Amino acid sequence: MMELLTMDGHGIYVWSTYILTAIVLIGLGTFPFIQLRRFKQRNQEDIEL
Amino acid sequence: MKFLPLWMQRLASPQYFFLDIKVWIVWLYVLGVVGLLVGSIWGLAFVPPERLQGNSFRIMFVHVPVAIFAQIVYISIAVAGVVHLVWKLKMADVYMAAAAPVGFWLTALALGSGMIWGMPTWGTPWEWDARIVTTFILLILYLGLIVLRQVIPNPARATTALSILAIVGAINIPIIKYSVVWFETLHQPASIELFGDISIDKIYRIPLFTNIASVFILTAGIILANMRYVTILRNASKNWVQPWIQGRNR
Repeated sequence: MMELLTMDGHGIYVWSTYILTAIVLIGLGTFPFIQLRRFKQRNQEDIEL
Repeated sequence: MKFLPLWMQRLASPQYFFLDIKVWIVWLYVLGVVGLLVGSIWGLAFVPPERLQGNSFRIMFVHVPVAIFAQIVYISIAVAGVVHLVWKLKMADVYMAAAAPVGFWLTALALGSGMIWGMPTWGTPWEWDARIVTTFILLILYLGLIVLRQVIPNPARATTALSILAIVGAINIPIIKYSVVWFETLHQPASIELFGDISIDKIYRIPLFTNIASVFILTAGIILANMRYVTILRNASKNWVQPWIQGRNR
């Protein structure tokens, strides 16, 4: 397990790349859904007013 | 557009696109995420270190797929630009608006992962190397596509300007591709040729191709999800939007 984390000194580079990729892809994937939900909520509030 | 099958013609209508595409997006997200998890875990834990680069080569399993699709998304935007200029298809403009931020972030990720990979491999995160510089130009082109839409107040003019920028900027794609052949670069030559040899060992191909396919699927899903959001923004005043806001349809 430690070997998988450290990767003979390359772990910091490899894991930071995968973490960065995950953050960007999660951000890209959730952004349109969050914006759509906000749009819907904003317009629902307008209708209620 | 009459030569297209009926279900595709239906997708050219903003209303039907918005309502019909959601199920596709869900499936593309599920397939893309599962594929990426499988390919990445395989590449991280189940293949041996590379002979010269050791474990740092495992960055390739994300760097190569995002770099490939950073360029393919740009080509697709240029094609959408042609479609907009020739046929004035509304969905082509929606596509350009939705795909530009995705391409921007894929390019940023390709540069970022390349810089991280450069540290243990080249001893430097940045070098004024032809491949790196042309990829940086791609990032600037994406930024241009995003900013141009904000600064030109007339939407029709903005779309025309965007289409022209996308088409002209597409010249950068073959330059990126052949930069490692035309110039003396620190970046290694292409390991995968579409109609040629693959110089990557067979043992590494399965996780790499799994991730390439998965990034393609996920990118398609994200662009479609963005298109859905852009569609609703541009059609907010239309009658079909109100039932959706009130939760009376999907």
